[in-house]
Amino acid sequence: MSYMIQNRRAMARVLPQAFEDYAIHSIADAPTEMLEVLRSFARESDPTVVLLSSGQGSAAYSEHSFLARRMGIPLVQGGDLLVLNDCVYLKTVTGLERVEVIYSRISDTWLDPLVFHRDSLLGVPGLVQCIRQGTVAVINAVGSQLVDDRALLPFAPTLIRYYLGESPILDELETYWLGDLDQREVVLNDLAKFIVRPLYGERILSPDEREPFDARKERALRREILANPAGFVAQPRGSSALTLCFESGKPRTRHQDHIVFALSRGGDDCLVFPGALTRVAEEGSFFTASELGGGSKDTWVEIEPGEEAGSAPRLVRDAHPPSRHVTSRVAEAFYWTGRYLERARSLASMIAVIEALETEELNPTERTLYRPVWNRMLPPLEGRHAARQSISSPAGRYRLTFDVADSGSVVSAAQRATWNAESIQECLSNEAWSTLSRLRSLFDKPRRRAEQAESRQAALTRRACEHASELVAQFFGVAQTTMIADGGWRFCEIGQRIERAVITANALASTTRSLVRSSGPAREHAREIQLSAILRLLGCRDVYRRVYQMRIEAGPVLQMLWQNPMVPRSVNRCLSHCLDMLVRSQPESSHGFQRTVAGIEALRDELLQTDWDQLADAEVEKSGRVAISQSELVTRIDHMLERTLDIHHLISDGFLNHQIHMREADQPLLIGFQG
Amino acid sequence: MRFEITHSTDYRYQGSAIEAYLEARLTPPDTATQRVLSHRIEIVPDLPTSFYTDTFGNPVAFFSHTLRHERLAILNRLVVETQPPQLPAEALEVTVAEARQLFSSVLLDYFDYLQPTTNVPVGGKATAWCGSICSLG
Repeated sequence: MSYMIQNRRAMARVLPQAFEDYAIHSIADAPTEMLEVLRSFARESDPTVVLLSSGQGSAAYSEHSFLARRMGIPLVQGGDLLVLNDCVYLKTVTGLERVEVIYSRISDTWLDPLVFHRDSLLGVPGLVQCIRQGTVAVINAVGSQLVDDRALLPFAPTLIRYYLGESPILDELETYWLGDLDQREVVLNDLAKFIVRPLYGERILSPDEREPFDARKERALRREILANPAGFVAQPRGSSALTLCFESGKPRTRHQDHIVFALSRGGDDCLVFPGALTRVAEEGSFFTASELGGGSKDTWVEIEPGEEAGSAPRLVRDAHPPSRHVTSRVAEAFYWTGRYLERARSLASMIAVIEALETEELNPTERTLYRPVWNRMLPPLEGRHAARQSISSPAGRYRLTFDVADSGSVVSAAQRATWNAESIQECLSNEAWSTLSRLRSLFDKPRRRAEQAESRQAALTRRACEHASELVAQFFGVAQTTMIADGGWRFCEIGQRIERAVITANALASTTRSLVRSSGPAREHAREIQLSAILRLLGCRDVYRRVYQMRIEAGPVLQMLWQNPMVPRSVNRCLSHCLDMLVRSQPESSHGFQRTVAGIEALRDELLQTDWDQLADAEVEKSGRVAISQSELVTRIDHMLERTLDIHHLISDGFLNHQIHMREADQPLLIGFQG
Repeated sequence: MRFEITHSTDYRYQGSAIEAYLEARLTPPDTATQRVLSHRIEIVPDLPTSFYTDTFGNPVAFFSHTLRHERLAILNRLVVETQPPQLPAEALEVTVAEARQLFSSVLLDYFDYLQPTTNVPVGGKATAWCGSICSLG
């Protein structure tokens, strides 16, 4: 339907003078009319109506997106909806919102995995039960796609007479259903005279006018029909509509078809939109569908003399502004885009720093002390038992940059970020998306060649890593400049800061043990080298100098990276930024909101109240005589890391998967079992 | 005969599941040869359940669990009383040819039951077993 409207708009823009001499009916109002009808199916006076799409994989996605925008209703996918107590809810970051009407644009067979295709990921499990209970209206009704069945065409006049008590005005298209033995015989005896098509869809089995119908083609066609005759119909060649097109000034004949749109407003009240989607095939082709080479054009219905032009186009009423609610799926995709981008950036800058350090003149002591730090500090891997390969060699770092099979590599993190962003591409600005495309193309070409010389590998690694970390930073800058700072985008920044806090906390936790081992005044130099390595990898050595203007010592380093309110890498600063983002995105407070904010504030208070300086000094005085398991510093940092990791669950439960909204905040989330 | 039946299903997931949707066909219908005296489906954790009757006349329980969980248990307890079927003696007097005629006249009523399903495809073990007993004209 969007093509019908878009064709009219294009026509009016390109050939405005064409409209001067004719009075034609307007179709600009069609989406509003449709919304009115959709709303009328709800019991509530102000229902939530959504358009259910199969997502970007669908060829008609632009149509879904256009219609949703013009009707001002949320464009959702199966995963956005949830069935609870026989009602359908939309998962939004502000909570669950009851849905009364669903305008479904996915095939019935994928609508509910409990009833239809079990492996459907597009549908909503339990939806059909809600339809049975009458708590939701799905339009068009389940089963109505039956009318697309071409085998019903021969019966159209009978159906019209029986159900409507009227005689059809137009003749039906002569159609043979090949499941019937007699009809099949007629068609198979003279196959060249027919066009054979499946019962559903745009496919045409018969060769078109551009190719000869030879014996080989006929045999193949016959074989395909006989394998499943009931799945096909045949229509005589020459029965499809023709139109005249001008190409290079010459008239040419083309096949065309019209798709007419109508709204049933209950009972006999039917509204046929005064226009059509007219699809035109390429020369000599039968295919009018756009995915098979067809084009489309504007179609007019003239206003007859004395006929009323119909009401003037109305505007969508102010009472129904477009939904402000950001769905949880969109927020989640933004969140993971942020997390993976930050992971890619942190890892890439660490690798770039290591490559740079390798070319510097490090003395053997520095080298031995630096290397263990590198391996420990990299961002944590998913999965508790995942082990990272050593990155002490150029080949190891090359792998960690370019190996798609390694889930902890820069390329994997960048890929996951772009996959998440791709699923919400319509929410990103073009500028932000093009920055991400550049990040993706950075790793597009398969560059992993084992035989490459180490020096060549090191150069490639360093260049790609430097470039990647720049592009990620650029993405956030570009996005902040060009995008609406709505609830969705904020989750990208929240994801970025959570990831950064986790990486900082993990870097500190994983290096503290070796710091404790090298405690005592005698090992002061070794400790300083290790601390310097940590700061360099986290990109904070200059920041440290600016903040403290003194030698690198454990107390101040810990203090800066946990508590400092200005240092971008500090956990405190990351958490404060998340709090800012949450408070701004949540005007009204929900359970999830309160719980998350309280959790982040409690963690921030705890890390601010910890006297890191004193804890670190205590370790130095012990001079490594105390077992690691008894070190108060190690216990404290491990605990803080766990708590930082837990923030993810708070955010995820509170906004993304709705574990909070359905329960009182004080109840445990994991339901206990008795017996 | 009276049967006391307990049927339990216990799902334990390796990780935690966030959403679960189930349709339980655990309620036998009352027929000429069986009567359900008592019946209760318990779900742990306790979840609101709704019912509908499917196209074959089976009562179906539907419930959704939308909170994180690692276990889900369904316990079905029922007491059923059965009676031996009373076979119409006059049916034995009908010839096979006549029976076929009668059967084809009511075929439409049984159409849904005769369709192949994923679990019972045409040409599978069930078809072979049928073929060993009677030849389907």
